Parts: sequence; structure tokens; C-alpha cells
Amino acid sequence: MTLTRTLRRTLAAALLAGAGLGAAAAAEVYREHHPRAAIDPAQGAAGDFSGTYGFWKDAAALERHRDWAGSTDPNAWKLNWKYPDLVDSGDVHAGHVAVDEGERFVRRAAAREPGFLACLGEGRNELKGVAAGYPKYDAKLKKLMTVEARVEHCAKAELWDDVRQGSPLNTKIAAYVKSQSAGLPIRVDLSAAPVMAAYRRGEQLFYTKVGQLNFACASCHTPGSIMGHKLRGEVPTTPFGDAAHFPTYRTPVGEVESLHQRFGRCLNQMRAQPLKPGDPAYVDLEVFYTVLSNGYPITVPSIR
Amino acid sequence: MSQPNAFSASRRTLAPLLMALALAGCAGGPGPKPGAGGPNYAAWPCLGTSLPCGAVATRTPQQKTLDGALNGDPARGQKIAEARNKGNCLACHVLKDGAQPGSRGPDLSRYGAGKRSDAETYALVHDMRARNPDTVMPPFGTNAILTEQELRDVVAYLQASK
Amino acid sequence: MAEPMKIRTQLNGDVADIRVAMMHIMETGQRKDPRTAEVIPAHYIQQVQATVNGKTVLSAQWGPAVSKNPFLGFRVRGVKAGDKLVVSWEDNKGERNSAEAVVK
Repeated sequence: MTLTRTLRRTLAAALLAGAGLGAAAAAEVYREHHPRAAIDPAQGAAGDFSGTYGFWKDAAALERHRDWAGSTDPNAWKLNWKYPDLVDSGDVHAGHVAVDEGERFVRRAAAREPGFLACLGEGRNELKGVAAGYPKYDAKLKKLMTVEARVEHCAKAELWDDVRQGSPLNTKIAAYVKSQSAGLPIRVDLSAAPVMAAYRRGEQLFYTKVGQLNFACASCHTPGSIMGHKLRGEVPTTPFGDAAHFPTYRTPVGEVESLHQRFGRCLNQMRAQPLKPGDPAYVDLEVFYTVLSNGYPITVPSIR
Repeated sequence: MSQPNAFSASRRTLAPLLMALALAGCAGGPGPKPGAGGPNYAAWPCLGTSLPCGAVATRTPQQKTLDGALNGDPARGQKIAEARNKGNCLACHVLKDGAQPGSRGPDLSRYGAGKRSDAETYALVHDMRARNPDTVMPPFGTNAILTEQELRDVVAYLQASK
Repeated sequence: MAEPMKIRTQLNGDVADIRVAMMHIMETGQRKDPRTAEVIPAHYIQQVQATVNGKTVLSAQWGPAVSKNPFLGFRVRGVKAGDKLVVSWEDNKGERNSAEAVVK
């Protein structure tokens, strides 16, 4: 066929536009959303909409209903699985072992490349308190960073090593970094515009129905949904306070799991396509989720 | 005589490109790919825009009419209702003789003693969104979670639950 | 080289509360590989021993019923701060591991 130069240019432009169609099309295709619940991000964990915050907000509250903990009592879900997080039984588990392994890696790596520790510590050679401010926007890298993303970045930049998000090593190092902020309240900074934008995007994702079963996160984790009701043998709990214990050791899995890995597992169970750890949609969801734990102490290592 | 520029593609390369683009637009019917390392849900809408499924649309609600007689087997229907990889109705509903039922949806253990017709029941199990657009209940028919016969068997089981 | 164990000790008078987190696959030998349909061979801890200052205080025979990455908790009397605790295991393949801790 004969094509004029103008026509060729138009077609080429159309081809290029077609390649970018994915992003635009997602906004235009028919999608369903779960009805919105009232969430005030400024309140953090205390803004819990399930009415259970008073039962798990601190160790004293948890002790008042210790008979619910780990039992088949229909009220057990109201403790939000927090009892072993804030009330130390003295038990040790594979989560502790994972933190130790993460610590060993960091110490060995920092011994040969001090820049690695300084990178993790955002300029200081000290990891205490660092994780409490995550996720955050890194102005130099121009990226929203989770702790796992930070570990991957610092390993690449300072050790020339590939420690990918979602890999067991990345999760163990992230668990160690988080454990260095154990007991400190989570403080995601919503006054930073990119963080607020991510929160809003994550919130939108939370309500978006996906997969063959047409579920959104909200389908099981908002008032009036399945939250608080039995889902076969389980009771879905409130999303408030959840982000505080990740990465966590999962007994049904036998591994420590990061929040992104947990998103993926849940999506799989919902018959929806999981994304890769580090995916921008997961980062937005993590920002949203972590804001719902603002003010609640980090409790890593943990076991679930 | 035209000068060569960035968009100068010869006829031979551009035509196949156009063909490929046209075909890509028509490709991809729904249905997960079999085998090879686990289920593939890429044919259904997913979160974000990194993957192609980020641009897949949700199937719109369907009001399905029951064609002809029900011809459902209640015994088969009970198995389908209880199986986690099939209806998994127990996840949210109390069912007759079902163990560890959920508590979100209405109790269906005596569904058959009620006044709902086969046709109405079939339409609801096929796609509850036709009755309630905000329902949490998955569209078992519209999203091909159950086959046509499986839907009929489940309806038969519900109608037999007295 | 087997993965490390984590030991925590807590002394109340002369009774020590010992808790150990072990890392082991504890494969029962009943599971089938979903891809090849072949049975995954059994690989689990069979023998566990704990000694204080060289004297055996606990001996256990485990089997496939114990889950992956097992937790062991026990109390032992007649122990004082500074005593050396050693926890060791051997599995059905002859692999071994042990860890030491000073009672605190």
C-alpha cells in the first residue's frame, strides 16, 4: 500500500499512543467499587471504624480481655490479634531468627562498606527510629520509599548487590530495620504532598473490585462488609493497626512475609492477579494502610 | 521526492505493524491459562496499571433468565456449595448440614421452605448485582465461577433445603 | 550448615524458663510435589537434647507431627545464672545443629 508521509506520521503516533493505552484505559473501563466508609487519615489508628480500637490500643486494654486472646471466643477478633504483640510472653519464634539474620547481614555488609549503614540510616549510622517514618517520599530519588524499597536501593547503591523486594533476604533485612523501631509510634507524614497523593490513590485501590470473585479489600475490611462476621472459619479484622507488625512470620507459610507479599497472597485467595512486590499500586496501598496505623507502635518481630 | 525522516517506515515494515496492532485489539478472550505453576487470574481486572489486567473491565451485571426446566441435582449442588474452589457458599452463608458456616449472608439452611421460584433463585446466584448493585456476593454466573449446570445444581440444592 | 536457633532464658529463683525457636523444614513425607506428583521425602527432627553444664536435662523424640520451624519451651529446676545451656537436635537424615546460651 502507498502511504503519504503525513499518514505515516499519524499512524506512527497512533501506535505510540496505543502503547500507552494501558494507563489511560484503566481510568475509562467499567470498574466497580465498594461503597466508601468514613476514614479520617489525621486520626491514624485511633480512627478505627470497627469499634474495636479500645480493645487493642495498648497493653492495658489487651490485658482486660486476655481470655479472648488465641481462643475460639466469638469476640476474639476484637483484639485484632494484637495480644502477643504488646504483651510479652517471652516466647521466641522464627520472626526473631529472621531479625537476627537480617542484623548479621547488615553488620557484615556495613563492616566492609560503611556507606550501606549510612544509606539505611538516611545519613546517620543509626537505625533506631528510622522505620517509624516509612513509607515516605525521598526527594533525592524522587520516589515514594517503603523500608523494603530502601533496603533494595541501599544494597544496589552501596554494595552493588541485588536484594530484591519480595526476596527472603530483603524481607529479613527489612524486619531487622523495623525491629530497630519496635515500640515507637508509626508516623507517616501526610503533610508531604506526594505522600498525601499516594494515600488518596491507595484509598481508591482499597475500594476497587478486582478478580474473578469481584472483591475489593473493602469487601472484607469495612463496616457492613464481611469484617466482624465469620468467613468460613475466620473472622476478617479491621485494617487499622495492621501495618504495625509487618514483616511478620507466617506460620501457615513458614516464612517471614512483607506487606506486599501479604497483599499478593490475599489477592490470590480472592482469585485476582497479584502484583510484584514494589509495584506502585502496592506502594500506594501500603501508604494508605500505614496511615491507618499512625500512632500505633511498630511491633516487629511478630508471628501470625 | 520525500526526504527520509523519523517516521519513514517502508511499506513492508508498517503493514505488518498495523496487522499486529489490529489483531492485538481482538485478542484475549476471558479464561485463565491452564497449568504451569498455579492459577492465572490475568484475564480478570486487577489493581494498578503495571499489568495488562489493569485495563481489563469488570463484567457488567446480568439479569439472567432461566431457560427451560431447572434439571439440577441437589446432591451435586450441595458438594458445589460447600467446595472452596467452587461455590464456597459456606464462606458467608449457613447451609443445611454445612460445617463452619460464615455469618455475613442470610441463613440458607431452610431456603426451600420459602417462596422463591427456581427462576428467581437462578437469577440471584447467577448475578446478585441485578438485585443489589453493592452486594459483596460474587457473580457466580456472569464471572463463570460456576458452569451453567453447576448453577442449576446449586439452585436445586437450595430449593431442597427445608 | 544448619540455620541458627534462638534461645531465651528467664530465671525465677532456681527455676529457669527456657524457650527455643528452631528452624527446620519438618517435612512429613506425606506431601506430594504438585508439579511432579512425587512424594516429597520426609525430613524432620527426631532427637532433641538439652544440657545444663554438660548434664542432660531434657531428651525428646520428635516426629513428623511437629510443625515447621518448631518452638520448644520447658522449665528446669536447680539452675543458676551463668550456667551453660546447650540445645541440640538431630534429624532423620543425620543432620545436626546445636546452640548455646548462658542462663540469665
